Amino acid sequence: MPRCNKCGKKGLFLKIEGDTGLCLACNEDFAREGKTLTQKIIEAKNKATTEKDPKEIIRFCQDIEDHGNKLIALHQAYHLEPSHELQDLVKNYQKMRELAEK
Amino acid sequence: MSETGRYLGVNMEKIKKVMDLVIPLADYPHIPYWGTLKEAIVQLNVAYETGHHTILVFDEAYKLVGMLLQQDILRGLEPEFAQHYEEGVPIAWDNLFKSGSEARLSRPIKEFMSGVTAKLDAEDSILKASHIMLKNNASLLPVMDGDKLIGVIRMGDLFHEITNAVLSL
Repeated sequence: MPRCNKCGKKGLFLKIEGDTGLCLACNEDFAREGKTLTQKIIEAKNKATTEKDPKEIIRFCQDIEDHGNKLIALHQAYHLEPSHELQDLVKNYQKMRELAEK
Repeated sequence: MSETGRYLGVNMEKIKKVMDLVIPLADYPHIPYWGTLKEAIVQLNVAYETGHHTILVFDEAYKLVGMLLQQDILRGLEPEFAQHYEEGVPIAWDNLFKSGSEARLSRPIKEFMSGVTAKLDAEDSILKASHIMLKNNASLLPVMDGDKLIGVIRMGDLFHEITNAVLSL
């Protein structure tokens, strides 16, 4: 019987998203919160790439780390595996911030 | 010498692998699939100075879902009736951008982006990569190391490596 990985709801006619194993309501909640965080990460990432001022670069790198870690935590809360792209992005910008701080 | 290498008369041991030409994802501008055409154009104009002509498109889980190429953007800017030019519909090309350009600029890029049609393995030879790119009519493809996405490879870099190897025979 289909069962949602997040809320545990189950039912013969319950629709479960194939990619996530979540029911439609939980999937929508994840997508809504994920969109907000992804938007913030991408804005900070694109600014960090073009910024010249080291202080601003550190700030944008920190934003990427913070929002990236929140998105990873969101995945974990919904019992989902964070993408390699996301994990690498957080690691790379953490390294970049540490280098810029030296 | 491998079969492909023998065919081209190239010593494959001297030829690089895909992993040698991988560009990290972070080097490219990123955009979410719900971003607008206008936002994509702004990003691409910034990236143009660094030599990148593509934007990588991500979903709400920060997973790569596609790419936005220059031709995708130009296709998105074209009014729909422009597609009927070949059928004999007269088009006032000079006034093309005036009609409804604001509405077109606010459309989401998911309507125009190119999906990921194929993936390469980091261990693949650049000749195999070139073959897969040509077969899929792609100018940029994601590179996997096992099940992990490690970056992308560009047709321009493959062209440079392969043609240099052929000329040095």
